[in-house]
Amino acid sequence: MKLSPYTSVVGAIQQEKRLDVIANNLANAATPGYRKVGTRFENFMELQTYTQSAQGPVHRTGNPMDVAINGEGYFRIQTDRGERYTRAGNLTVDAQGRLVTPQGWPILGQGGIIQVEGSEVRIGAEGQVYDGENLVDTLDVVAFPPGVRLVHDERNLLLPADPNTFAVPARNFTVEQGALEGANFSAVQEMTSMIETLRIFEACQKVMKISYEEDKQIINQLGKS
Amino acid sequence: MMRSLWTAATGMDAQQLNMDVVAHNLANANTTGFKKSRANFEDLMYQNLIPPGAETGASGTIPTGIQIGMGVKTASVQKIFTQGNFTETGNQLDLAIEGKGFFKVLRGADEVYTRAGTFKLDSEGYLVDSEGNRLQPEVSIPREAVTINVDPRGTLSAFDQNGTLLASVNLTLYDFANPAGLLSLGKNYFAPSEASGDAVEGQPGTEGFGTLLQGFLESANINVVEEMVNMIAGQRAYEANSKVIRTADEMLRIANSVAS
Repeated sequence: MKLSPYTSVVGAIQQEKRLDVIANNLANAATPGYRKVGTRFENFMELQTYTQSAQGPVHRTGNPMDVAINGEGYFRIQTDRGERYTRAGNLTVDAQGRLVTPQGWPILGQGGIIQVEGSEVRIGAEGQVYDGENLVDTLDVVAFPPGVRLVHDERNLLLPADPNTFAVPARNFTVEQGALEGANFSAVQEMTSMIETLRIFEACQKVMKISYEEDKQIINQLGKS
Repeated sequence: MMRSLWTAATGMDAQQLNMDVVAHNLANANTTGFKKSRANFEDLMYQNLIPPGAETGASGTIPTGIQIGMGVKTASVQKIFTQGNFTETGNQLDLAIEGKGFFKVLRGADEVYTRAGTFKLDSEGYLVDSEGNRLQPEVSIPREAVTINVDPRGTLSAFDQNGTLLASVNLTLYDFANPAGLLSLGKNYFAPSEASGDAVEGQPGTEGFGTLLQGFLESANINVVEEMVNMIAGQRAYEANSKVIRTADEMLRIANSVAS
């Protein structure tokens, strides 16, 4: 039986897309709270991507405005396109004294936008925000019920794939002040996937070539007789 | 053309900027009152080749679809205003701020802010910084003064050789809602911007302001080991992205050789 050369063309295109995804992961090696985009193949040849939600490495920065979540959950961010979720806790205080992301979007506490007077901001293990000695608000760390898939919005933000899902308060987490969570992929794994991608691509090309050679021979030989 | 080539290029670009920031921090390891910077990265837009929840012919709906990101970009390069260490100098006009706040000096016609407290006296007896710019509000020290004492709450007292008090003045500090939004002018100077908010005046040691430490200077708030680790991580990430470009190139070569 002769395999259609188109099968290998489709296979090669899928591998090209897979490299695009790996390239994006590696480009975001230094992006705080970045969630890896994984790939899988379904129905033999159908590439799908998903957002991997495993914990990334938490490293200390010593900057009091950096917060990291250890465990499950996401920070709620209010953007001009609606509510989004993130694990990137590199916060600052804007000119109006609101706690915001580097993009200037307010991070939400249980009482909405968090306003600080600007002296020493302290953040407790459950996300309590103290302005000096006063408890101002508590960071609203939320999780999604099992089975909810998150997709990437740009600028370190995530949102549920199905707009009708609602976040619930997260339970198993601690908030660490003065630390940031890094990207949650392993460089070794990405490099290995990359090599694999290249080799499969090469194999697909070989199949294509053999198939063209066969066609050539058939045409030539039939033409002679 | 292959997206991955451009995606990897954004990654290399980001790491290059990261390295520039680290280099600037390390170069200022011995600069008085220097505040380190950090590059904040964010992911670029995603192309949804197949949107999540799209219907397929045979198997119902695709749960997540295909999302391909376009790489990374720099969100901001942020100054980090953590406290630096104190170095004892014994010089009675060296002042370090322990806590929040800035000194204000007049540079030409502009009011600028600094945490480098290496003060001296100019020919007219005014307190000036190492660039010769006068501290604001101006403080003049009588010519006969021998001993100058600054207490943590900012009261500067000048005494003559017999220990008689000649003059006493309160030094003022300034602070901002968001110091990270200040504009760096170089030479340890900062200027307010829309992001930083306006300067708020206060006495050292009062609510929200740090205290003064005489005879000390604040060193740069960088940690050399941390910067070195950032440098190594940045270099390796740069390398990984260059490998992606090599792989993409190899794929294109293979694709081109189908027709040969």
